[in-house]
Amino acid sequence: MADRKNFSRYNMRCGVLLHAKEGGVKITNIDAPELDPRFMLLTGSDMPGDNTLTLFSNTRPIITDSIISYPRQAVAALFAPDYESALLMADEIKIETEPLEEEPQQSLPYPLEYMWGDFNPEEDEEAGKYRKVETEFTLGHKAQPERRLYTVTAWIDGASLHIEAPTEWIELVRSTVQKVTGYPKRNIIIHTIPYISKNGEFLIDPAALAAIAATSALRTGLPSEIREETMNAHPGIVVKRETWIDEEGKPVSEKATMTVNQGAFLVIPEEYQRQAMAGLIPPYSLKSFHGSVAIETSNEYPAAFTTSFGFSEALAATEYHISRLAEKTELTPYLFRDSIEKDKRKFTDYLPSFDLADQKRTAEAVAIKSSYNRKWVANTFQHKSFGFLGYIKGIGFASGTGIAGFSTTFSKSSGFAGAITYTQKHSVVVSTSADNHPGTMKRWKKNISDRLAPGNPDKVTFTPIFNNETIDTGPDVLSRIVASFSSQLENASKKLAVLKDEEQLPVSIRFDAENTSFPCEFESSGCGAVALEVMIRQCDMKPVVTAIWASFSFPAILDETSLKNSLKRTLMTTVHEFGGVIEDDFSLYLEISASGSGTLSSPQELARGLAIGALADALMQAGGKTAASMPVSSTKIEEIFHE
Amino acid sequence: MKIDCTIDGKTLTLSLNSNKPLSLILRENIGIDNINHCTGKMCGLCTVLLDGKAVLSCLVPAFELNGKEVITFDSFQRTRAMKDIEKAYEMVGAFPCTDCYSSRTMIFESLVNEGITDKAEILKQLSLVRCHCMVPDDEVEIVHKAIDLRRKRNVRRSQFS
Repeated sequence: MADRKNFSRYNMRCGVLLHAKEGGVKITNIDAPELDPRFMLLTGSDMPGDNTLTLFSNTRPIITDSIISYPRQAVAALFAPDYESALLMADEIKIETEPLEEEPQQSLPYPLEYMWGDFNPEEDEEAGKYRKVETEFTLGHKAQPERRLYTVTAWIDGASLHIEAPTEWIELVRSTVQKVTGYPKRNIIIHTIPYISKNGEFLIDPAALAAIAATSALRTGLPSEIREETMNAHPGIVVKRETWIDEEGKPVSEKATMTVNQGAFLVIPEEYQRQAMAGLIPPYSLKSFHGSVAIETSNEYPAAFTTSFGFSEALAATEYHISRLAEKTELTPYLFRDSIEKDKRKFTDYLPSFDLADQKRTAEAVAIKSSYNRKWVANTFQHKSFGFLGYIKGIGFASGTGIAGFSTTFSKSSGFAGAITYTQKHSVVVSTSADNHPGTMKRWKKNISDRLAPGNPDKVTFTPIFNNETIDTGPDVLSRIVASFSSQLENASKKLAVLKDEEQLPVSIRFDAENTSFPCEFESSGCGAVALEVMIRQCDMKPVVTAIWASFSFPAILDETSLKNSLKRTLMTTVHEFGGVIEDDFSLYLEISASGSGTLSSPQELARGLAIGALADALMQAGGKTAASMPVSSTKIEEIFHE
Repeated sequence: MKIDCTIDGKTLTLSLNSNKPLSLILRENIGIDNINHCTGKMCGLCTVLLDGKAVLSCLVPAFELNGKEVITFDSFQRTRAMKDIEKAYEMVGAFPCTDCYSSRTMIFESLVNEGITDKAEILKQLSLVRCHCMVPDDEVEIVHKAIDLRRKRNVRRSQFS
C-alpha cells in the first residue's frame, strides 16, 4: 500500500459539515452568500453518484437534500483554504426548513418472537395459585458528541484516489466512495490511521466523510480534508415483563416484550433483535416463555454500537427483573437467584445448555466479598432514615452469562472466509479478512508456528483480503467470527501439519463459517457477577457509586492484566454513562478466573450488561422507582422523593 | 502576532492569531493529529506539558506561549522519563485506556516532576481528564511508584557521574 503523500497544507481544502438543528423537517432553501473560488459548498444534489450509505440492506443519505430526519444530520459540507475561514463562512449560511406534512415511512423488520410451552396461568383452572409480577425497564435514547475531533483526507495521485481515515470498516469506506464518486474500486486506496473507538464511532461515519472529501478532491483537484466530532448514541429501550410466580415464589411462566428505538435510521436491526433475544431469555426454568423484540424508528440520532449490540441492555433488564421477583419472596436477590437457578441452563435456539456451576461460584464470591446479604437487609431497614442520616444506600446484584459477538446467522451471511497455506519456502501464509487486534494476531501466530514452524513465529504472515464484502474489523465486542476463527485456525494447522509432509508443496486449506455448525445462534462466552453499592446524598441527590465487586470466569485468559483493565474500564464507564457518580473514595474489587479451554470473546459486553443491571437494582433499593428510567440524574431522584 | 516558543524540542517562530488555542496550533500548524480539540469543553484529551506542568492545551491561547516550552506526548513517549511511567503502570497492573493514555501519562509525568505524593492533590490534578477508566487508588499508587523509580534512576545517574 502506498505511503501517505507529503503534501503541503497550503494546497489543501479544509471542510466542515453543516448540521441540522432539528429532525422531522424539510429543507426549503439553503441561503449562502456568494462564495469566491477558494470556497466550495457541497449539498446533497451536488454529489456526483449515488448519495447514499448502505449498511447491509439499510440505506441513509450521506448529505440530505430534502428531508432532515434527525438533529445533527449533515445538510451540506463547506470546503475552504483553512478551518477558520470554513467555520466563519459556515455561520453565514442559513438553512431554511418547514415541518413535514407526512412522516416518511421506513420498512421495519417484523418483531422477533421466541417461545416455548403452552402453559397459560391466566386461563388455567388453578390460576388463583399464581401471582403476577410486572416490571418495566427503560433506558432512554442518548446521543451526544464525544468532544473528539477526527479528520478524513482524500487526494488524487495519478489514477489512484487515496483516502486516509480512522476506520473500522475499510470495505464500507471503499464501496461508499465508489458509489458516490463512480471511481473504480481497484483505484481507491485506503490508508487507515490509528483510532480509539470505545463505542464503534469509526464504523459508519468515516465512510460518509470519505465520500464527501473524495467528491471535493475530484472537483477541486486539491487534497481535501474534512473534520468532524465523534458522536456516541445508544438506542432507547423499553422492556416490559410479566412473570407468574407460584406460592413459593418460583417463576412458572413469563412474557417479555422489548421495544428498541434505533433513531432515524436502522443499523442491522435483525442482528440487534437476535442479540437482544439472547439477553431476554431468563436463566431459570419456566413452563412457558414468550419473548418479543420489536424495532422502531424516531426523529433521533441513529444509534449504533455502544460496547454492545442489544445483548447487554436485555441482560440488564432480565437481571433487574429477577431482583424484583426476589422482593416478592422476601429473599435477598442473591439467595433468590441461587434458589431458582438449576444446575444446567435450558437449551434454547439462542444459547446452548451449559453448566451453571461457574456462574453460581462467581455469584457466591461476589456475595461474600461484598457482604451482600447483610448490606441488603441493612439498607432495606435504613430506607426510612433518610432525613436523619443525610444519605440513603442501595446495593444491587446481577449475575449472568455472556455471548460471543455476532450470531451464527449473521456470521454465515457476512461471507467471511480464510485460507492457510504452507509454502515451498516452508513459511505459512494466512489469508483472511479477519484483521484483528495486534495482541490476538500475535497469539494466533504463536499457535500456528507451534505446529508448523516451531520456535519461528516470524515465518507466519497474515495477508488481508479485501475483495469480498466482509466485516473487515468491526468493534471488538462483535467478535463471534474471531471466536470461531481461532478454533478453525487451530484445526486447519493440525491438518496442515500432516499434509505438509505428505503432499507436494505448497499445500493450502480453506475454511469459512459455513464449515462449522453451531447449534445455537450464540455460544456462551464466560459468566460473571457484579455487586454495586450506591449512596444517594441528601444535599445534592447525586447517586454516588461507592464500590463495585465483580467476579468473572472465562473459557480462557490470554493476558490477565489487559483483561482486568478492560473489565474495570467497562464497569466504571458504564456506571458513569448511566448517571452514577464516581468519587475519589471509590473502590473496585475484581477477580477473574479461567474455567478451561475455549476462546475468550466479548467480555466487555457481559460486564456492561451486569453493571447496568446492578446499578438499576441498587438505585431501586435506594430510591424506589428511580431505576424505572435510566440514565439517572439528581433531578430525577429528587422528583421521585417528592412523589 | 509572532510567537517564539519551543515545541517538542524545536525552537519555532510562529505567525498566529494571538487567541488561537494551543491545541489547534498543534493540530493545524504543527501537524500533531492525536491532540484533541474540544473547544474548551474540558474533555482533558489535549493535555500537554507547558514548562513541565500539565495543562489543557485547548485553554492556552497563543499569546501565552511566548518564550515557553511545550512538550507533547509525541516527543515525550520517546524519552527515558516515559519508561518510568510505563514501568509504574506495569508494577501496579493498571493502564489508562487508549482514549486518555497520552493525556493521563502527561499528568502523571507532571506529578512525578513536582514530586506530589498527597492523594487529594494527585486526584485533583488527574481530574483534568474526564475519562473514567482508572480506579482512584490505582492512580495514586502509579504516582508513588513512578516517583520511587525516578528517584532511584536519578540516584544511579549521580553515582556514575
